[in-house]
Order: sequence, then C-alpha cells, then structure tokens
Amino acid sequence: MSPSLPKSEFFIRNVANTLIQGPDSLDVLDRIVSTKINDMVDLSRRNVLFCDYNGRICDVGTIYTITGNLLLSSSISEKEVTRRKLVDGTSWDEECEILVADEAIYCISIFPEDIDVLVEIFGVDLNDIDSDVLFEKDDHLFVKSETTYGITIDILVKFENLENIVSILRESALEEMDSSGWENYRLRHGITEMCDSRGNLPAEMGLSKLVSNDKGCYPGQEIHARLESRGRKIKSLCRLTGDSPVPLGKQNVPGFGTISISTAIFSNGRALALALIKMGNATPDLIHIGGNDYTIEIMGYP
Amino acid sequence: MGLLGGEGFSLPVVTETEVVDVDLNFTESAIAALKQNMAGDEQSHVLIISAQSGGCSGYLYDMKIIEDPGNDGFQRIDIGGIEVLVHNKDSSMLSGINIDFKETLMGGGFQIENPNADRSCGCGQSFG
Repeated sequence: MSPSLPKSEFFIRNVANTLIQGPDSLDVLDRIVSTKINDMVDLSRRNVLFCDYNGRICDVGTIYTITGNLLLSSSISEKEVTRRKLVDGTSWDEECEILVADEAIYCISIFPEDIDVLVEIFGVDLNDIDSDVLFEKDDHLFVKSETTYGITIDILVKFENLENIVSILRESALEEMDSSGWENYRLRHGITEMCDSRGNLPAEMGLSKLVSNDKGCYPGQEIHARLESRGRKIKSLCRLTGDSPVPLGKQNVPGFGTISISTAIFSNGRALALALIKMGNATPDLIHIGGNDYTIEIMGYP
Repeated sequence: MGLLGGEGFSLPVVTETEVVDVDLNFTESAIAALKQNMAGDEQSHVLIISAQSGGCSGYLYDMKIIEDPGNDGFQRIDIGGIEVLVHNKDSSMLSGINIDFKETLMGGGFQIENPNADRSCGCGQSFG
C-alpha cells in the first residue's frame, strides 16, 4: 500500500539550468547527446542523455526550445562537466554561447489530481495541448507530461517570479514536497535521477527511448548500436519494496550475485529502493537481502 | 519580457584551454591531394583543421578549405606552400597529428592519426 497523498503536490526541481544561445546551438548540442534533437520545433521539450564513449550515462537532461534559444536542465552534480563539453565542443566557426541560468530560471513540477487545477490557478488549460509542447502565459512556460503514473505539469519561471508562484500554489491548497517527499514520490513511480543512472547503460535504466539509433554518431553510439543489435540486456533497474530498510550500495545476494542499490528510503514502515540487478532467464518475484524479503519490479520508461 | 528576459544569467562561460605550438605531419600523398584540392587558390585560401564535439569517441575532426579568415586566434603552418591553420583552442588536441591520404573505393580520403588521442572510433573521424 502506498502512503496516502494529498490531492495535488508540487516540487521545486533541483536542477542545473544552462541557456544556450546562437544559431549553431542545436547542432552543437545534437552532436553530444544520444537523443535526436535537431528536429525539435520552437516551444517544445525533449529529454536527453549524455553518454561517454563506452555508452554509459554521464548526465541526464531536458532541452527546451524557447524562441531560438535552448534551455538545458541537467543534473546538479554533473553541471560543470556538461557545460565544459558544450564550450570545448563548439568549433571555431560556430556561434554558440553557454550561459549559467541556475539563479535565473526555476522549474516547478506539479503532480495534480486533476489537470483543471491549472485552469483554476493560472487560467491555463492544457487539456488540448500535447505533451512536451510549451505553453506561454505571462512570463511562465507550462508543459505537460503524460506518464505511466499520471500527468505532471512543469512550470518554468524566472527567479523574480518564483516566490509569487510558490505562494499562489500554497494558497491554492497544493502541498509542497520537500526533498524526502520527492524521493518518496520518484521511487514510487520509478523516476531515476543521476545517482541511479550514472555509469549505467541506457537500456539497463529503462531509458532506451532516449537513444536514437537513427541519428548517426554521438559519444557512445557504437556501443548502443551493438547492444541494440544483440537485443539483450544483462542488468535491469528494479524497484524493491519491503517492510525493512534497504541497505544502500553493492550487496552480495545469493542467487543474484552483486546488486547495486542506488536510492533507498524507509517511511511509515515501508521500504522503497531502486537497484540494478543482474537478470537471469526468469524474473524472480522476491529477493532476500540481509535476512529480509523484498518484492522486485522491473522498471521501464515512466 | 518572457522567461528569458529576467535577471540572474551569467556572462558566457569560457574554459581555459592549453595552447601549444602546433606541429603537423603530412605525407607526400596528403600534400599532393591537398594541392589538387586547392586548385590554384593557395594565395587566397587556407586549409583549416579543427576539432569539435561529436562522433563515437567525443571529438570529431573537421577539415575545410576556405578563404583566409585572418589571424583570429590561429596558428599557421606552411605545408608545401599551402597555409594550414589550427585554432589555438584546438592546438593541444591536434598538435603532432599525422595526415595521410588514401585512395580507395571505400573509406578513402584524408586520414588522421592522432598521438594525443586515447581512443578513436572505427571510421577514424572521431577521437577522444
């Protein structure tokens, strides 16, 4: 049983924001990410992966196209490396400027019980707007995602407006998640962050959708192409659920070998964890760690 | 003003790059092919060899014959009477490269061997 939730919640995302300006921005970024983005239209959004030459994830991000500019939201932990890749990877004859926007733009995610809550609060009706299409109202951008666990609305706001928007949401009886609330939410729904993804292959993380096999070369492409042609993955991201706390890190589990537990929480007598587990021919239902049983569920793209 | 019209953006990010004196090694066949491609434009045009992000291994080579862009951060190397330019930002990645030209029906053209690279991809156009 999942803990009971208030009707609608919101969370201020802890991400690094980078503004990429100039006519060659999309080309520079497209060469680095594993996801095809050079067909993005204005006012749209796409999730992307940054991989190393071994095909392993070194950053995860979201790109927003905003009137000829790109906004990249990526992980805080890898922001310096990712920005350096963009700067160093720009050719002498390309126009592409990288600006830090960490203190300029914020992303608020709303997990509404009913999408019409946006109509009531902001006068924004996203019912007829497609997912990943940006909708501009005042100085804010609204974008909807429809996932396996429901609808999420992200609002991009500038720093000057953040306090006001947060006040409006609170006054509208939306509950603000703190970081532990967010961990609980994302583990319940199988949303990965860099701590889960770093150094793993996209297919293992259930993120194969973010690898475009038709875009040509990018760092890690040879490995991804080989894995795709073999059509088999050795490890899978799984959610563990149980009644006892799950230890973090690598655990030696009889019958499974070594498993890697990247995130774990224990709340209201319920344990949730994300783990990378070597899969055999049959997917077992249970795993025993430290004398406790946990159910296993393989996670796909949310 | 829109979302991007507010405060708090940094100035454009710049990274410190090591600048070294560039040394390039062309084979005889590469020089001959370069002269053929220049087609008599040696006085006004130059070959620029550069690196940019991308490819399977992280960086891609790029070679362009263009009108001389001037001295805007480039190093100039005379190769058989043809000026070859390498931008200072690419100097540490490209100094010491060996450039050959192979005539084959598949995979022919200029080929670069880079002693600075830890790895390169199968097609030879990417390094890291």
